[in-house]
Amino acid sequence: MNPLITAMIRRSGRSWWQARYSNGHVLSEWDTLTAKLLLPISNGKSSRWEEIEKGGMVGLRLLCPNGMAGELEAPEAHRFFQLKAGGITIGMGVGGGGNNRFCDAHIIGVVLDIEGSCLCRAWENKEKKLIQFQDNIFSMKYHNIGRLNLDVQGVRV
Amino acid sequence: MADFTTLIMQANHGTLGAPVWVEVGPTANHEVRWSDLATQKDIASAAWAAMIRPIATAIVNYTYAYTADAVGNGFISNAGAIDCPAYDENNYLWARWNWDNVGTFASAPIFTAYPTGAHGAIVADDGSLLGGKIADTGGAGYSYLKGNAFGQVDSVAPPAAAPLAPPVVGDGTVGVISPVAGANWIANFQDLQGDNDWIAFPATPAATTADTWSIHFALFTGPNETPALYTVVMTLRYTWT
Repeated sequence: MNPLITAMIRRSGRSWWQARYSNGHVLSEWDTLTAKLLLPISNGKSSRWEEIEKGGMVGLRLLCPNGMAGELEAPEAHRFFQLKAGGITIGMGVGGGGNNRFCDAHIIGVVLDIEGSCLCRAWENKEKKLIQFQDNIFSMKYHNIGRLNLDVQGVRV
Repeated sequence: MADFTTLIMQANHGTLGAPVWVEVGPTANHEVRWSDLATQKDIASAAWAAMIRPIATAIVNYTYAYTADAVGNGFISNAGAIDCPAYDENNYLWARWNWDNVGTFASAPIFTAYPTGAHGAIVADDGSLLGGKIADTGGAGYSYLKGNAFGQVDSVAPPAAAPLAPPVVGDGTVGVISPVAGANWIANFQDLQGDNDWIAFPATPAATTADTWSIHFALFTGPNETPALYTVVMTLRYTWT
């Protein structure tokens, strides 16, 4: 990878997805930003996973700010998903417990079978580490996510 | 898809018939406070009155929506024109999560609570506000904080009736509870205990569509709760891409 891009990812402090297609094309998350500058330097809140072409996608990577990358592969298209898990908090009590928005993890996954089993890689923001786990898209236990919306992800099972 | 630009909790400090929704977070200095006094309008946080631990379990009757350190009114207080009324589930337009049309949920949102903004694990039956104490809250040690949620977003139709049952100190279920999809509240309140016990919306809300999700919450206390200055957080957990 271009060392300048690698440096930008490190500096961004967050992870970025990168899709690989059967025709050799590579699409990076920063290519889909609605911001003017298409580089991995922003917070990436405006990227557009749901609008990108899922046909022909055979690989999905998670490029992490510690220099590591997690990659998943599939023999056919419409098997990948990508999401961030986080939330907002509302202070309760005098002085509040802190109001904020947070992102706990950036997750990529590939569906393995019609039962919904999936293999995932996730960059955990608090722990600053890349992990791998198995789960199920119909009832994801990771962070109590529950059932993934397959239409949003463009996943076909 | 993008994350949401605006995603907030709103409280009704108007009336049931004419709700006035004010943000109680996550903007700084906006928050929800509780008291056993009905007159805690516009009180600076440093002067907030402490509560005496009761000799029997009881609901903490008065809930306040603060929008600045010393600016706040009771829920359902006609914007502060009257003292804060005691909690009543029949005030069914109580609070709601509100989001804009920028983001898209990737799964059903979750309503829960954590001890701090670090969203750490909670040990059931530890005597804390969210850990609960079996002697007071029953079950596996349910949280003293109870929640309820409506089974559809307000763009379909907002609640037109109250939850069927009032919250009680023993309410709770280990794991997740969802309202039945449609114009339904959860039959009994759920305890809000971090990643142990929580409420999930029954479906993924529509993409890039501004909407609101109506909720209720009520706080209890009891003789076995550990005295402390609690500054826990209510949380909407959600996913986006």
